[in-house]
Amino acid sequence: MSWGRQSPLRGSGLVAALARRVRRLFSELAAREGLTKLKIMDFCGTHEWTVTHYGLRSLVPEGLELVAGPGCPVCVTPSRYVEEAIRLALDGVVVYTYGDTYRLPAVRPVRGVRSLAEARAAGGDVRLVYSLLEAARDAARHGRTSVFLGIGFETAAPGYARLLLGGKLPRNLLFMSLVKLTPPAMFYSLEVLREKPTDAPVMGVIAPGHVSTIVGARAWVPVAEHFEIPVVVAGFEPADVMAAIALILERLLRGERGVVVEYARAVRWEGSPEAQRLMYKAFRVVDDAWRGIGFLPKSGLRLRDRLARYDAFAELGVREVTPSSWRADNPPGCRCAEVVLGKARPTDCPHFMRDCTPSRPYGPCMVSSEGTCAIWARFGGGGLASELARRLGLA
Amino acid sequence: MCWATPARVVRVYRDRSTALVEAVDGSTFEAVIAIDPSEVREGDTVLVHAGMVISRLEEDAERLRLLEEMVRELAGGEDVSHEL
Ligand code: SF4
Repeated sequence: MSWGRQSPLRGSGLVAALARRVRRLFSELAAREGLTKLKIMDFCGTHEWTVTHYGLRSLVPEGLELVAGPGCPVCVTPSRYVEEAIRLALDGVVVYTYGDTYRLPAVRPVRGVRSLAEARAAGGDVRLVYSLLEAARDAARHGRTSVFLGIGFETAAPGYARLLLGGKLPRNLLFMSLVKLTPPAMFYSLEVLREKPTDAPVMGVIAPGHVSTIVGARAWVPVAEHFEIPVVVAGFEPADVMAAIALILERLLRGERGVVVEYARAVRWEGSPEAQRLMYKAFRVVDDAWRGIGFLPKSGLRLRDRLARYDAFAELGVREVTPSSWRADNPPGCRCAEVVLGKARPTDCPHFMRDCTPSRPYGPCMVSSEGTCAIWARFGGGGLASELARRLGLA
Repeated sequence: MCWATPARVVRVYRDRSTALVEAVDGSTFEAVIAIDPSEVREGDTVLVHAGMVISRLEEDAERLRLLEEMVRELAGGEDVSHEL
């Protein structure tokens, strides 16, 4: 029996009304500031999914550009770690991974193998799981040396921590911590966009809603203060995203900055103190490499010494990327690094939908359901938006 | 990876580190409680990310009403109730 019900925020009438509001606010702001263009960054891959799946770009005024940010953990996991996982699989270690990492292409093939999917085809034992708990149960059954690829942001870290600290992993299952922290990436991408303005300033950010359930809305205060822009923590229904855009424009008009929570049904100002406690008890913060981008200070998590017995880096000899060994790790011509930073759109890439498609990804942004290229490939326009655009007389 | 879906808590297990939850499609699975377990009670609606409970969803009518009001106000005071 299904218990869910249609969210009132999915009603297209509400989205249409908000779209009208956004248009009014934008023209007022543009006229007052003498602007023809401005950008709002939707940081999170799931927001980009909402924006593109529902075609929200066709509902906002032409001068208002929504740029996708680095909020896709699969897209920013360095190729080297994928290569290390392939090597382990080929050497007989059972590798547990989420579905999207499974197809992630590495830049340097390991014994001719380019992805975990290919490693499995070559005889490696690579198993797709939905969660660490599932991997723990499975590994306990067979008892062979295994590794779990711990990809994710702050949303995943506390759950990993709960299992690790609670001793819920069997002895034979090791954990490769590839967890990344989002605020440093948001800072970096906004910095890059400000240093080299391509055409219009980023004047607001739609902050990741699910990361914020853990870190709290207050985690974005430094961003709002440093860049003097409004930041709105938003939910993932189309009306949530439209409301976030309207809230950003309203605050700009009033000359207000700061952080606003639109996603109040899930996010608290302080987040979850318990989840934060778990996260920092299990993990330490390190400077970490982001695929295509390089090292960002204090942007990743590795296991603390108390959990050393689970640490795949030490126990399985997984080599860490270091600032001196890091090299640009996207395939030739792939513009994923710029796409992730909001500097380029998927359609600016010469490979897009030619030799890089969701069924045959060439670069990392085409793999995950939250990769900007994959989202654009699947939902480039149309859907609810075209219908609304017609109703609003925009199309 | 930032995907999270709502689920209903069917049972909180004894050591309170996991709970049995029911997804919207009716399937059930065990999820790790990443937040304060005392906040997770049977019958609650929660957000689940990669098999982990990351938040309670406040589905109470008052909160929803406030949100709708805010959204309506943003929509320029138009009455959009017939369209919701
Ligand atoms: S379309 Fe493919 S090759 Fe081009 S930027 Fe995206 S992932 Fe890279």
